[in-house]
Amino acid sequence: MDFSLPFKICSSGLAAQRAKMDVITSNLANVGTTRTPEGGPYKRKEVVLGSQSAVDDFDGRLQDALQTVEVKGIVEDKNGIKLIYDPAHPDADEKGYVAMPNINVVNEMAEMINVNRSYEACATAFDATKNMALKTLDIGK
Amino acid sequence: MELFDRTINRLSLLADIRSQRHKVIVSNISNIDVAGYEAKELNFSKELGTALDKRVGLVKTDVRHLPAKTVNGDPDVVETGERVKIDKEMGNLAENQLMYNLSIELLARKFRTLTNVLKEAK
Repeated sequence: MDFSLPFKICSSGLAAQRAKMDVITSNLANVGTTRTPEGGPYKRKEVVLGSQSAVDDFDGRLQDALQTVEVKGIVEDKNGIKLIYDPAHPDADEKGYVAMPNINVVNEMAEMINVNRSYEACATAFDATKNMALKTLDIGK
Repeated sequence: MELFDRTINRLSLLADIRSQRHKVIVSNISNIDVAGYEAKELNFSKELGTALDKRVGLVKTDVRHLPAKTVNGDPDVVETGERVKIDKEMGNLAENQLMYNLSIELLARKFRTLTNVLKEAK
């Protein structure tokens, strides 16, 4: 068995989950950011994942079944910017409203737990692969 | 007497199919968060049946015929049509890993038996 392939698939999963975690922490850290380089408040970001065939040779066996994950892009969610009345705020408009980021902390925390679990699942799969590879070496003993 | 009997061949076939299934399960687990991904499954018993059945395969009646590996070249991977269920996949992963380890262990014992015989013959 070619053990490098399952290792490759597992690590692509781990990398994808870590990218998601990075974006979630960025969202959480910027929950009160009202000023960004492109202007306006911080907008919630989301990772888009896509799958890609892991076998690139012409072997054909399991070609469609084995897929690695990759980050297709990061999209900004522009909807749901909250306007909060706070005339003392330096970024308040002339009516006294401040545009706050569209981040729901509870949603982000829930998503963070989800990502954590998926990451753990990938790590377990990686460990299982390693275990199998080591077991294979027992044949010669 | 054949030194490497049928059991060894069958055990290595079994380990091979288990490893194919492992790849499919790992792929499912990695793609769990991809929108629109459908869980895939390797039809284990059918794959094993195909591998064991010597009659499957094309007979070459002419030396100029090109080799054909199997009749159904596509491995029997079915799309279940539903999203990946993490508990099911982790269960499959653990079961498949244990069964793989079992085939390898049996294979190793088989070889150890042969080694013992060879040692005693000295």
